[in-house]
Amino acid sequence: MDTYPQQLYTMRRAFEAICLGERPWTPLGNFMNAWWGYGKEQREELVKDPLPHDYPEQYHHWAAFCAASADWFATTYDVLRPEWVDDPTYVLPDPWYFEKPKSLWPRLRKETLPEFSRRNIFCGDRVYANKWEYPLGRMQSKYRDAWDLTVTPQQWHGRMQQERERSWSTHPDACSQTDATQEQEQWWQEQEQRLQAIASQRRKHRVAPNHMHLGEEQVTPVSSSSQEG
Amino acid sequence: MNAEQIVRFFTTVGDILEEVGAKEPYKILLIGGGYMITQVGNRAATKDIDCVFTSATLTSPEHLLFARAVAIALEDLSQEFPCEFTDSFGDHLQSVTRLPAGRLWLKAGMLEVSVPDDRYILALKLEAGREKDLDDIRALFPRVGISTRKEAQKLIAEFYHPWVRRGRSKQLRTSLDTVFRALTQEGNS
Repeated sequence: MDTYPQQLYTMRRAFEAICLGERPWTPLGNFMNAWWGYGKEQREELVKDPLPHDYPEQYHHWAAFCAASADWFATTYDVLRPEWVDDPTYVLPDPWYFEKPKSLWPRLRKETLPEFSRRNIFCGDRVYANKWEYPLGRMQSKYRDAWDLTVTPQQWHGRMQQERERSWSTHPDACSQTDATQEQEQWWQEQEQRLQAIASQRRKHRVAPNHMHLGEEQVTPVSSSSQEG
Repeated sequence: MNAEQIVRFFTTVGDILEEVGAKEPYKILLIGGGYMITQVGNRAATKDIDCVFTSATLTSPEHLLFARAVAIALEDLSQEFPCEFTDSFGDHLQSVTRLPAGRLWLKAGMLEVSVPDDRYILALKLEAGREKDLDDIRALFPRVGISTRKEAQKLIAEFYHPWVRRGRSKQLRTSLDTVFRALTQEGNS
């Protein structure tokens, strides 16, 4: 049975911890534990509270990152999207590449999800990759199909406000498009059918423990397990 | 998961990939606890298997197929033993370290599992500086032939890009402090 700590580790709490000088990924990791772990039944609560307005200027880019994150979490997991994330304050005046070298910028621009890039944050699409939802692989975004880097973050913000007026819940299917081509989509559907068949066959013929032995597997041990040196 | 269960897991994933008709073997590099158990043998079990994907980009159909095969294998095998698989740091490691090609260790169906050498794994563990890694570090030190802080710094520099070391100089110092303090205390006691 799940047990809940007295206080949920909300995005606001994570940001407050960042402003107190904690390494950002520690509080953000705590937030992830809450989102995917013990607090997953209370997700709306986790992003509902706006960030505090008075914080040291040096943390402004992390404020924008927390707003982008709350936007991504709420949108991706169909949780009520809090209005505070649309505050234009959270659109950074200059692009932020997480202090990564310039050579990585094009890749980051390409991979970053719109919830982040529209706020001028270019962090790639693995910042919230996690072991709870491994099969997602890279982070997904419902805005992925609307990805357009020729649009400035400010323009994105305008669009976002328009989008906000639409209800995600009334058109869930319309928002789940990927950027895959039709052909790829068809290929994937076929694979998925096969995978489903394999999974169901395995469920039916699930072997008893200790029945399978390594020696019976078609495994090729390529080299001994010991290391040189 | 113990060594046999790790091999079972990879075999199951390889079989599923073959069954679904994967044309090329999917290639991964085994790191973390899975590496320590199967290559070093200093401990009996790990909570999860960590790896880096080396043959396909993470948005490629091949990777999606692999991810689904992993999900099915986990569903199947978790009936027999607790198993988890994570790639949380794989992409991160590709950006911040010079990823070694590794040597092929296991081939099962349409899956090829390679392993880096001890030096790379030790560099990762030194950089992380976590207390829970101390046993692994202790096991790797003599295998790699390292005993001093200077040698440890040199090893980190061998694999971590300069911009990472510059950006994380404080964290690296703290990590090495943690490791060498613990090792020194042990030596004194």
